[in-house]
Amino acid sequence: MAAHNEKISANRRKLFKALSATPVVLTLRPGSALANTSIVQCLADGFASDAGTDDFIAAGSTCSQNDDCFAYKELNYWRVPDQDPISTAAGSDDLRGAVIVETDPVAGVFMTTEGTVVTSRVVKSGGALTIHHGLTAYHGMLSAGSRTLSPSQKIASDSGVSNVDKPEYHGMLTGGKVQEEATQEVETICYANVPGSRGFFKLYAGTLEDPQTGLAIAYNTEDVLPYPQRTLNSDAGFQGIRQTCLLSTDPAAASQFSFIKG
Amino acid sequence: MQRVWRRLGPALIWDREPGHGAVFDPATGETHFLSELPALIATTLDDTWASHIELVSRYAGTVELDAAAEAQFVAALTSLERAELVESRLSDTDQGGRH
Repeated sequence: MAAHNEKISANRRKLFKALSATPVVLTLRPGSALANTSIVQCLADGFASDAGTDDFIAAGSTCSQNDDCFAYKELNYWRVPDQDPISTAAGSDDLRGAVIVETDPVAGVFMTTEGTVVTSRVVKSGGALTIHHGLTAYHGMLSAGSRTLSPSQKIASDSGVSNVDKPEYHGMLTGGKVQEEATQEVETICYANVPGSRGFFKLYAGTLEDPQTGLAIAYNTEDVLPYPQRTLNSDAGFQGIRQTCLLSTDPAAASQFSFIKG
Repeated sequence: MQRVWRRLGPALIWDREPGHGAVFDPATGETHFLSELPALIATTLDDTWASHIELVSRYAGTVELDAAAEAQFVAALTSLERAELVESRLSDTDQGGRH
């Protein structure tokens, strides 16, 4: 009886001590649940809010199935011809055959699909793009037609380019859009991005979410730290997207995520 | 209008000792980090419906709580419910004795 009373007394002290602090319940959601929830919301929101833009267009008619469910960002790209009938100089910076993508239309960043930044060698003016490599410059207009810059006409006939001292060619681009998606294994949970950050954040262990405020904080197995941010255009050009989301190609497999690849 | 509370399903799995720190809920697959008050409530609940007053009594015997403390206790219960650790309904009295 005495032991029982002591227990009650101890519990009473614990209760009053506990009542002095605001109750907090933080939930660490499993990665699969987080990803599944996010991908569905992200894609659904993307369809609704970004219709008619270049962002968040999904392949397939619905995302109710696991396959063909991804999001991507459309970006302008130009393909440099494989063959140069005028100049045979390859040089160390030969871009023949390369596909050059405008990975950041705002900042004007261009890179090849191999991940090489070629911004300094590209001049874009309005809808026209000129790419210099070796002794040749290719020039293309954003318009309907071939996606490849075809070296079929002398640049001198194009009023949009002033440099006619070098052999230059121009081609026409179709739509000028590249559609790329990438799937990457992640070792723990997922990646996410923050609106406007133009960068991806990696969640190493999970997310602690305060159900009362909806705020999420980074969680790490060792400590609670801000997410390490993935730099824009690293890793073959991941690019920030407007909405916070996780992209999974297969909502049933949380280890598979699809990213916007610029 | 008074609510009553209970927890059904498998027992919670505590990281260290019951009522402290992280707890895993096998029913949802989620891990929760509870502060002291929700943690002690979580250890007190079982599968029988109980009001917050009954839960206080179950844990600490007969205790007089002021209105602020009662509100704090109910807030903790609500947080637990939002995290799907517990469930609630109106008491039999409030529901006209239908249950």
